[in-house]
Amino acid sequence: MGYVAAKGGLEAIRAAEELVRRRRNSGTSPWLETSQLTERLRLAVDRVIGEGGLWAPDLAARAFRQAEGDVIEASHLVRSYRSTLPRLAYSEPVDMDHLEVLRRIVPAYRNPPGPQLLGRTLDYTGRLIDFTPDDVAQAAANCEAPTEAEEGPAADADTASDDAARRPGRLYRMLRDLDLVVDRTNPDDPEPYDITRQPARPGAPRSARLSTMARAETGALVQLWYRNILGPDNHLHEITLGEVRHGHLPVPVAHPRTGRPVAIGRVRVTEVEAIEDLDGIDEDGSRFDVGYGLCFGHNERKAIAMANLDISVHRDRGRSALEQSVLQTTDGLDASGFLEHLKLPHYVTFRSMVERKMARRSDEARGRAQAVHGLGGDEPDPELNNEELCR
Amino acid sequence: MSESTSAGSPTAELSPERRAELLALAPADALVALAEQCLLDDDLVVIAGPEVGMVMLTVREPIALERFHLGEVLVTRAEVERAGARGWCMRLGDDRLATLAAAVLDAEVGARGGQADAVVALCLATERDHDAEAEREWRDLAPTEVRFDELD
Amino acid sequence: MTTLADLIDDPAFDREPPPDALSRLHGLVEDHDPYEFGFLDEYSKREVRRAVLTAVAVPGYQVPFGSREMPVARGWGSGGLQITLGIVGTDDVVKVIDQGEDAGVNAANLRRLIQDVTDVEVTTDAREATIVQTRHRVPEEPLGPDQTLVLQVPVPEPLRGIEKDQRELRRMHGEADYARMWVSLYEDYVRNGVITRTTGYPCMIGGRYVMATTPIPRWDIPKLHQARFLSLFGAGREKRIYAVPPHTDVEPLTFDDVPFEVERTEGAFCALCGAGSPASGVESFLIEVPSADHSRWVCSDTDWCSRRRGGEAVTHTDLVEAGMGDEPDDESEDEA
Repeated sequence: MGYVAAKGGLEAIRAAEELVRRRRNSGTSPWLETSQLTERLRLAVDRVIGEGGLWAPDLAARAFRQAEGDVIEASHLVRSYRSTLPRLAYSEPVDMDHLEVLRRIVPAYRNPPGPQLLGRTLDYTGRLIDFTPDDVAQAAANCEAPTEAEEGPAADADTASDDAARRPGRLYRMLRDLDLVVDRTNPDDPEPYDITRQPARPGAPRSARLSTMARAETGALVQLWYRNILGPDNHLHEITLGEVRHGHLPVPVAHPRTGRPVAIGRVRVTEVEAIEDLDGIDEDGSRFDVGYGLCFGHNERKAIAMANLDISVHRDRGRSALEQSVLQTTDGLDASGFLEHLKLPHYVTFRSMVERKMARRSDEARGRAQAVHGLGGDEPDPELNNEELCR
Repeated sequence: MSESTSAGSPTAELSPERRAELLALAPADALVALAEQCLLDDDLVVIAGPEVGMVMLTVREPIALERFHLGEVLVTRAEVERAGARGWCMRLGDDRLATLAAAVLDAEVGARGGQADAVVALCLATERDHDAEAEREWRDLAPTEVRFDELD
Repeated sequence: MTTLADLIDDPAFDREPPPDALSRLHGLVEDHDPYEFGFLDEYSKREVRRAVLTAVAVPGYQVPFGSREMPVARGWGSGGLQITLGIVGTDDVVKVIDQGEDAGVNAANLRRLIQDVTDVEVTTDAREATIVQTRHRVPEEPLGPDQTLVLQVPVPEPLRGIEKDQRELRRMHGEADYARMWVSLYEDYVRNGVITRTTGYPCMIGGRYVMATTPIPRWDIPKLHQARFLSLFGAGREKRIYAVPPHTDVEPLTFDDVPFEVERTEGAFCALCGAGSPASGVESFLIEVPSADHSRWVCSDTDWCSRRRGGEAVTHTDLVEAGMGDEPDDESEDEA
C-alpha cells in the first residue's frame, strides 16, 4: 500500500499541541486540581455544563482545564464526548415544584408566598477588586473551615424542617389563582422534541426552543435579548420577573423492575419565570402571560434571557425571524466553529473568485453588460440586489 | 426520615426504589468494600454494564405544563444477578467500579444474603448523612432570607 | 446514631478483603477504552447511514439528521467526518484532502483523527482509496464505482442568497419553485456580462432539486455529472446530508445561450508537472503562486500532480522537497 505520511502539516500540528500541553501544565504554580475548579470557579464550570448540555461537573472541570479556561472550547470537548456515549434512558418528567431552592427571589412582589432568599449571590456586593493580601486571605480561609463546634442546634429550626422554605410555591400559581394570567395549559401533553436527534427548524414545537436555549451560549442569548430590547429587531418588552431560582433538582428514572421512579441523584439548575404585559390587538390585554427559562448550573443571565425569548417567540407566532434566530443562531459551537473555519485555507475558492473578477473585466463581458443595461461592468447598480450566493 | 435502625428487620424499612436511591448516593469506597465482602460467598452474573452513558433529563415546565428535554446527565448503570436475585444500580458520574458494587449490594438485599443487614445499614447511614448535609446547607442559607414585617 | 464514618470502621466494611474478591470486582470493570471504533456510538452511526440512504434515494434533497458534535469544530468538516465514520469499515482505505492537498494542516488533522479512531489504512493515492473525504475539491484522478467521495459542506442551502426564511425555502424546494434563482442568475448576467457565481455553483440534480455543490470550483462540477462514483455531502453545523448517486445528471444552472464557464486562465500551466500547457495535452485546476510581475501556477491536486511528474506514484516527501508542502520553496525547477 502506497501510504506515505504527508509529513509537513502533521509534524507542525504535533509540535503545536506539545507546546500547548507543556505551557499549560508546567510553570511554577502547583498542579491545578479539578476540585479547585468545581469549588472555586463554580460559575465557569456551570457554564461549561450548561453549554455542553451534559451534567457532569468533574468532566466539565477537566475540559475547562484542558481548554485553558476557554468556556466554548471546553463545552466542545464535553459535547463531542457526548457523541460517544449511549443514551441509556429518558428520565421521568420532573415536576419543577420538586426544585429545592438554594436561592429564590421574586422581583414582582415584596411579600410573595415563600421566602425572598438571597443565597449565594454577588448581586448586591459592590464591584470592588479585593486587595486583601493573599497570605491574609488564606489565613482567614483556614479559620473558616467548618468545625463540629459550629454545628449546634439548627439556626432556625422551625424553617429548617419546613419544606415550604426549600420548595416554596411558585408565583405563577398565585397569578393564576388571582386570574391575572392567560391559561396556557396544553391539554395535549405533546411528546417533547429531541434536538439532539432531530434538527429543529422554524415551526418546531415550543419544547424544541426550550431545549435549544437550555444549552445555548449565554452570550448569544443575552445579545439576542438586548438586540430585541434596544436594537433593530425590537420584539421584546422590558419584562417583570416572577421567579428567579437556583436549586437542586432530582433526576428520577424508572426502576427496571417496579417501574416506579428512583431519584438517582440531583443536578443544580437555574429557573426563571418572566411575566409579560400583553398589549397586542389580538391578545387578552386584561391579563399577563409568562415565559419560562431553565438551564443547568447557576446561570441567571442565561435563564432570564431564555424566559424573555420564550414568551417573545410565543407572542410573535412566526411573524418575524425571531424563532429562526433563537433556534439556529444561539448555539455556541455552531457559531464559533463557523466563525473560526475562516482560518482554514480557502485558496481554491479564492482562486475561483479571482477568476470571475478577471472575467468581468473582459471586453466581451463589459460589452454585454453595457449593451443590455447601458452601464459599464464595474458600475454598481443600486436597483439590483443580487447577493453573492457562494463563498 | 426513619430514625429507628434497631427495628427487628431493617430490610423491611426500605422499598426497592428507596434502596436504589441511597445506593446511588452512598460513597464509592464504602460500596466497594462491602461488595467485596458479598462476593466471597456467592456467584455473580453481570447482566449489563457497568456502562457509562447518559440519561436525558426531561422536565415539565410549570406554565403550559409541557414537557421538554433540559439536557443530559452523565450516569453509570449496572445490573447483576446473584442467588436468584436481580440487583440494579444507576449512579451519577462515571464510576464503574462503585456502580457495579452498588448493583451487587442491591442483589444482596434481594437475595437476603449474609450482608443484607449491612447493606441496609449503609443505606440508612447514607440517608442520615444526606439529611445532615441538608441541615447544614439550610443553616448557611437561612440567614440570607430577607425578612419583612409580617402582616397578620 | 450510626454515621457513615462509623460504618466504614465497622468490621463488615473491612478494607482489606481477600485478594480473590478484590480481583473479582475490579476484574469486571477493567480495560475500558472510552472511545470505540469510529468514535460515534452505534446508534449515531446508524442514524447517519439512514440519512445517507434517504439522500441517495432522493438525489439533491437535503436530508435533516441529528448531527453529532465531533472532535473537530463545526465548520471544520464535522459533517463529512460523520459520514466517513458512519460508513467506514475495517477494510476501507481512506484519503483526506483539503484544497486538493493531502499535506494541508486540516487534511492532516482529519486523517490522523480518522486513523486514530478506526485504525483503518490511509493513503494519499486517489487510486487506492475507497473513501475520499475532501474539502473544496474533487480529485483530478477519475474515481470509479467502488469509490465514495465525501464532501465537507459549510453551507448546504443553494437558495440562501435569495431567501433567508427557512419555511419559504422549504416551500420553494418542495414545489421546485426556482424562479427567483433564475431571475437572480439573469440579473447577474445582464449586470456583469458574465455569471459571477464562483465556487459552489448551483446545479440541478436529476432534473428535480437545485443543490449547492459545496465550495468546489466550477472546474470540478462536470466530474459529478453522470459520474461512476457516489458523492455524499455532509453539513454538520447545519445538520444536513445530501447525495449525488452514480449516473445522475448534474446540470449547472445556466441559460441556453450562455455557456457554463469553468476556471481557466490564459497561458497558465503547472510549474511542476506542466499540466495546462499546450504541449502537455491535459488540464487541471491550477492555483496561483502570486507575484506582482510574474505569477506562476501549480496543480491544486498534489497527489495527481506528483504522479504525473513521476510517471507513477511518488512520495509526498518528494512533494514537500519540491516546494509543495507547507513551506514554499522557490528552488523547484522541476518543470515538465
